[in-house]
Amino acid sequence: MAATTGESQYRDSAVGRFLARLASTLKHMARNKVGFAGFLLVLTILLVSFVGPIFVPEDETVRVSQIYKTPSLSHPLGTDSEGKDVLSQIIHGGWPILTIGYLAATISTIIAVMLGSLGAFLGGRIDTGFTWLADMVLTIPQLPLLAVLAGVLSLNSKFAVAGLIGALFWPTLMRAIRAQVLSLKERDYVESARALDLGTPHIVFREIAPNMAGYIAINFTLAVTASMYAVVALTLLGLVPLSENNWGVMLNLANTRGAIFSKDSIWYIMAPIAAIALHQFGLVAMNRSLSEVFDPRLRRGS
Amino acid sequence: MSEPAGVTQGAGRNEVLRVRDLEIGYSTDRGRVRAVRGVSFDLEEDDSLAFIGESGSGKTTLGLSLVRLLPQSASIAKGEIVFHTSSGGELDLTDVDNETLRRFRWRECAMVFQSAQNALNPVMRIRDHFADTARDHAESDGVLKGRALTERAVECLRLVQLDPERVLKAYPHELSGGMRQRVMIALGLLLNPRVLILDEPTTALDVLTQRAIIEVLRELREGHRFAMIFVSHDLSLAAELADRVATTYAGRIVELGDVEQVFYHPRHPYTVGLLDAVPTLAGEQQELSSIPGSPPDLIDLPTGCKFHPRCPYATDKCREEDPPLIEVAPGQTAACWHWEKVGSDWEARGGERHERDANRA
Amino acid sequence: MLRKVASSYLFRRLIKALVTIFVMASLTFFLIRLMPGGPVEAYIANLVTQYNVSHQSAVQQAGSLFSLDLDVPVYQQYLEYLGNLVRGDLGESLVSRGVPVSEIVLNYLPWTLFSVGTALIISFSVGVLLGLVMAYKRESMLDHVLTNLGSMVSSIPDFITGILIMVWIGVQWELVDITAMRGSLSPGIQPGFNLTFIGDALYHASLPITTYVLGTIGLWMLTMRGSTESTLGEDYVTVAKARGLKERRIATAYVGRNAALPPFTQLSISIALVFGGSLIIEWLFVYEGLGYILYNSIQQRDYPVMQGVFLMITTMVILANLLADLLYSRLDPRIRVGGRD
Repeated sequence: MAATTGESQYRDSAVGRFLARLASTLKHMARNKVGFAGFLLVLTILLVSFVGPIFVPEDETVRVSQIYKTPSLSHPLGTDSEGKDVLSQIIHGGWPILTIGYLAATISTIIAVMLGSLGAFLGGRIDTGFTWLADMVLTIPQLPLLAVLAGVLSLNSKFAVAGLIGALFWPTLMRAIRAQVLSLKERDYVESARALDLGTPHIVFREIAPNMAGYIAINFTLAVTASMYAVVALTLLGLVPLSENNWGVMLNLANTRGAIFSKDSIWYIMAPIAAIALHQFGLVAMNRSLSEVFDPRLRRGS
Repeated sequence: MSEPAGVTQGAGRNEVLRVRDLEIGYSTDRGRVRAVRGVSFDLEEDDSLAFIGESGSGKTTLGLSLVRLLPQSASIAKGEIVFHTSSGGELDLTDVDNETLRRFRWRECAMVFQSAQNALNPVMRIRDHFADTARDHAESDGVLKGRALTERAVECLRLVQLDPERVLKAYPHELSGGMRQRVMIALGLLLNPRVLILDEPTTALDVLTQRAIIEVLRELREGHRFAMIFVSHDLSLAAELADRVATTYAGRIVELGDVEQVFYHPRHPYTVGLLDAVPTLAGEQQELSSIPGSPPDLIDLPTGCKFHPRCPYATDKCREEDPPLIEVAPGQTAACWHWEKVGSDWEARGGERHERDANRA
Repeated sequence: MLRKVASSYLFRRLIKALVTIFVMASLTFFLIRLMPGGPVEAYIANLVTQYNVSHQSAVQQAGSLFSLDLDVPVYQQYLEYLGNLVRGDLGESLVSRGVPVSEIVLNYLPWTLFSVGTALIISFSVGVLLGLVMAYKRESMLDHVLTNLGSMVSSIPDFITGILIMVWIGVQWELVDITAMRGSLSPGIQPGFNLTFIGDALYHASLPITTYVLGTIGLWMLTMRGSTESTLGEDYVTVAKARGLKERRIATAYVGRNAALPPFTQLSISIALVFGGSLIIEWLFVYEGLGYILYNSIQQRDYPVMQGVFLMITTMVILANLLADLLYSRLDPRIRVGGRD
């Protein structure tokens, strides 16, 4: 009887602590203007890319007379090499890329968290083995490997691409997570959990993980940055035959159709670049402010 | 300007350093920390003066101020620090430009910090440390380099009882803590400074290494014409190496005199407390006393004598008026209204003390 | 003595490097040879169906092209493959018949090495220098501008920076002639150790190099800035001031030398990124290096070349990392195992 009561108290306190921490994190983030601005930027881009297409129709009409026009009221971002509206292409062109990017980041983060925390916690041969694996994957130049695999395997499913990227980008994250877990391992509440003999999975997921939440968030944003790099690179190179038009494809077309060498096509080129770059900036800004929140040594003032 | 009592009128012999009414403070969030509140003393050519006190007594700040290495938040509020350089000039260290200060440092006055664990550049060999020091002080005496430099470096290392062959080509991490401390002292002697300041030279070292360092310092004292200033909380250090002792409390000197005067005939309750707190290794177990209470908050100091909250002799006068340094014997001063009573109490316990000393010998 | 060598830092790194190359080579072997529907099988099937070649003959052709003996069991093929690898035999190109892959690889390797190597050196040196200056002038206008600029520019994917350079500096503002800068060498210039050759090579490599530098310099600036800040608080810096050393000497030999060590350890990440990025950057600028060839071979399904180039790129990254480690051990005396020099 006493044991179960103790257990549930424990559970509440871990969850409770997590929620309290989440609330204070958001409060702290709001204080850091740059980070918050980045957060809003990312949110806006995500909204426009996923919700936008519902409201804005895709422009399929070919207008030969209106190739590479500069912005006007009817075409706020000008037109492309076939006279199609650029703005609608931007709005519609985000979600394929973003989906793969965030999916890949999720896969990476999950692998990194699992390998990193289990390795650090269990130590010994398992830990050494995981670290070796991470080092090896890290040494391999990632883009060429992705390109070769994409070429050989002819992927056309978003999940496949995301999986491929996710499977290669976890080592840096895993190292960071592992370092964090190693330091947390020595803390008091872990010692007491051990003393109460609550079992490895409980300790890892109930005690350590909530404290890692912030750290995982930081690493997740980094993972998204890296994955987005990979996705855009692959689509730019034309190695991922996706059916929809997306930002990467726009750049690919700009290159293959010679848009880069034409002076008029500047809007067509800059639009996807701006979208991609802004998204990256937002993530980096968020990442910096998150780092400040979770690593007090970096905090300015306060 | 009349000289305050107790300051050695040593103008006849070779005076090296003259400090008058020095006041130093740090600005912090809570307010201004008055770390040094009016310190005056003289130092002569081969004098050896020890500043003994608890942490927070201002002794380290004092030491740092002599080479102007105080942190950004600190400032010299008033007072003067006059140094007589080897070329015969006079330097007021409170009002000097950066380049003059740079040349002054180490060449005229070298400060060896406590715990030399990280005092040496990890990526440079010891011999390069000597070379750097010599190179950047070339304008003072002409360039010391090549064979002359090596010979001088070897000489300095031998003075601190280190094997020059092994040490010169070593990297700092290859030497033990005690060796590094000695290297710092050797480096300090390289340019033949007039004053060597040692801040807690033996703290953070094991007992055997402490012994070695003290031996080294003692030998240096005997052979060479430079003045030493020690800053420490360790009374025994003063006993071994100093000619004169100044006990410091709450930013001021509370007792100053020859080492024998202060150790055998203390006249300030704080000094008495310090002496009582030192146990003897030999002899029968005696009651150890520590001074009750703790050092005052330097931002919000008590009124009158700063020691009164912890003093067994405190009276109303002590609570109201901060005593100046009063001459209690030729060459000895103490900042206490009741120094006579302190003295007579001490002498009364003299019988016990002589017995203990006899046991110690 | 042997024990000392075996436990030495560098020896262990060497072993790790060789193992990684070995693993990579094996991975490529299995990918190319064993995957169902993989390149070898696809090639054979293609020959049989499209060119009406007999199965036996097709297998033979495939074997010679891929440098594999397809009649013997797989593990034997694997061993032969490794054996060939060690001898430098990477098979023949599918597209350019008769041309050994090793020849192709060696032709294009120097250009990538040149551009990537130069870029890494420039990026690191300038980045570290800027980082030092930024830390010394903390909170000043220069510091704020450089921090934000560095952070922003580095977060942009390097190929996008490349496109931006092409579009703005090349096309819109016409500052450089990007068409003329294509290729790794102007026609007619002979390789040789003279100024014309080197100047021309630099001319053609300048855009890729600039792109690589812009993509990585931010990392060095920010890392060095942080590292310098903490080094400035170290005891030996204060003691150096107490020793009356000149400000310049302290900044370089005491602060700079020590603060540059942590950024140096990040070099391995940069090396992998830049070598990897060569795939897309060389394609973008039509710079004829390994990345360019890799892209072409992927497009053309020229598997032996793909395999060979990929292995070469990986090997280069590993060797570059080894070199960086070696350099680091010379720079930081504390990690030299064995003490005595």
